[in-house]
Amino acid sequence: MHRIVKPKNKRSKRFLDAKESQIIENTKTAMFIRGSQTSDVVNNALKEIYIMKKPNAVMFTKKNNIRPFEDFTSLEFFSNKNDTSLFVFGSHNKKRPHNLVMGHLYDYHLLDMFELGIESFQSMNSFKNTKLTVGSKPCLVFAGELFNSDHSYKRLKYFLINFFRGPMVQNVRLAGLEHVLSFTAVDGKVVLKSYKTLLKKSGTKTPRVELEEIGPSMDLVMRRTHLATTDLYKRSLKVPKTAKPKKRKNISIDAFKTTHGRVHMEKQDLGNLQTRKMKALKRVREEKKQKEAAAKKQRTAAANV
Amino acid sequence: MAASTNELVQDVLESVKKQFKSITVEKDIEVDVDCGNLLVCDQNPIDIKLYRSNKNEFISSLARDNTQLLFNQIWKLPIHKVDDVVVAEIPDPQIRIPREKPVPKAKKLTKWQEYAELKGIQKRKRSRLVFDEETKEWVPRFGYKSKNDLKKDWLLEVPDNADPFEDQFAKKKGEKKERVAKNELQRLRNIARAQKSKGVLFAISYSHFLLKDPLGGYFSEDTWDHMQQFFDGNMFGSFMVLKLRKIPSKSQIQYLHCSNSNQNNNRSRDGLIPKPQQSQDEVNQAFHLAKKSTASIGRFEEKLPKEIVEKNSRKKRKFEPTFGQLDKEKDREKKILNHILLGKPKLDIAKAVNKEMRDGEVVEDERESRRRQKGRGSKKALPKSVRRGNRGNKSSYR
Repeated sequence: MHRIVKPKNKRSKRFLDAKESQIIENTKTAMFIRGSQTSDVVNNALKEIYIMKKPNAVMFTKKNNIRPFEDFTSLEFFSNKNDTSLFVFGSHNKKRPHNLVMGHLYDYHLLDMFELGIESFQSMNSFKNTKLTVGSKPCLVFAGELFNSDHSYKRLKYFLINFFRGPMVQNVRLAGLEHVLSFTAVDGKVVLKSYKTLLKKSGTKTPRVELEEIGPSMDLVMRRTHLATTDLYKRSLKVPKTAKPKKRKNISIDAFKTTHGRVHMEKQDLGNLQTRKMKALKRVREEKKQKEAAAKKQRTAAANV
Repeated sequence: MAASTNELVQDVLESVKKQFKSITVEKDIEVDVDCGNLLVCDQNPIDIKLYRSNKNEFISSLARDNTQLLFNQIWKLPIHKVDDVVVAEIPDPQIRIPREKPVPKAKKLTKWQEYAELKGIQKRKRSRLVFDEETKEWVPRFGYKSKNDLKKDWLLEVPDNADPFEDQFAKKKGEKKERVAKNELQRLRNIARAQKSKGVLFAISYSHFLLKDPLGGYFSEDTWDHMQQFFDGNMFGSFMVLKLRKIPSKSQIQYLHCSNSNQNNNRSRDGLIPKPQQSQDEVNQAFHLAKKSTASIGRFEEKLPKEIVEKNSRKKRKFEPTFGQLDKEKDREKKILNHILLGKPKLDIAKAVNKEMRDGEVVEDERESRRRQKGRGSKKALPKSVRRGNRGNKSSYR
């Protein structure tokens, strides 16, 4: 074992094994923490985002006196203990009302952090309709030029994708694409809305989609940000070589579905190729013959003279 | 007649079409669909007036359009049937999202694993239960109710050459404890060997070694000395600190802050320090250094029988040919030109900001000292720059 302190039972060993860095990573879990003072709006917002992130989420019940932008060490400690790399911290005070600080971590150290203020919030309960099952993978819709032009909004977009995208799967059930989260950057705000899809008949195989609003609806204003340096961000994006798909080289399939392969040869001296040995074709033998003939001629010439 | 049938057909088609709604969506700029993430990014500008007139409606319709485009793409993907469920195969995600943890590094093999690889020994899976001939039962191979469980023996024979007053039970227990401690030491040694390249300082719980009585206890003198030279006799509370000598490298992580300053000074970066007992690595280092310290930089030295030869100990300087590589020359010159003409000056923002702040602090300090001295004393006590009023000072902080 490569650990100095051995885990006492199999359960803790499993947790520590899952915590190690892996080639293909586990689904990221998020932690939801409340500050020393919170408002109703913030509490409800935290609860509803927690429901959206279940089961990959941890909700802290106690209030914590943390200031993320001043001292991030306690959040790093929590992330290490709970093996979470995403966090949402809610607080409320006069200067920053209905505040949500969301961020992600790399290697248990802070990567990006965004402070978003909730301007208008509508809870899930205000939309009177049936909700979705917990744990479905949502479709994400980003609209607005800001998400591509502004650097901090771009990072916010990547963060939101990281946060909400759910488990990575190979196959998706077509009937199971029920949840749609739309983020619209308009009028200086980011409007978050959550919908349920209804598939209607269209003439073709692809159905027509109708949306019905279910979940929380929030208007978020970006207040402060802490963005990672570009080199740290680049480092966090690195994909291990084994995870990359292996290239199949020198094999091609033509229109008739025959496989063609390419073999690379070094340059050959065609004069020195190894062929079947035939004594008659030996060059030395020929030369010898010619020499003998010439010698004979000379001798006869000499004799005649 | 033909015309009317034609019209009929067209009417029927139109009515059928009206039943079904369209799935086409018109967009100015192409929408970026990433099926791997189930993501769609719309870059089209949003009409703010239209948005403000009816916010919810606008956003809902926008979301619906974009979702429709996403679904159009998803329905084009290859479909399988898994247990009566129609499933689409998703491609790899296009947008790269930062990882949670860094890429795992390959683990160093333990001493046994290296030997097994060398010899080609395969790992055998053993069954948990073994048939015990004496009790005619299946008992576990090791542990609680196994054949060699210490709790079982109610009787132990005293061998002929043993002391009759010796406690055989305690002796057997002691042997087991020694075996356990030896195994633990070897495990930690494997970890230490694996960590050697990083130069890590870590602590081992005291209890792991049962070192209540070093010399008269469970370890032979050799193992104790071996461990002793690892930690330089530094007991840090209830932890035994194992310090590892490192081959000079970039990182040196210290998990425990040792108050003993001697330890902080004994770094191999400063050179090889003579010691009564040196580890194998240090001897190796010393040997290689000595070998290199000849007039011909170790080139004509004989190789010892069991010497570990370093591969690239002599770096060969590679020179590019002075002529003949026109394309390389072209690239080089182009690069230089680009740097001059197009390149932006490399500004280390952190450094610049720190400099500004530092200079600002210096100026602030001088201002403070000036304010303090305003009431009393001659101004000659103050630095000239302050007296002059920061006139020519570049780094004045406004």
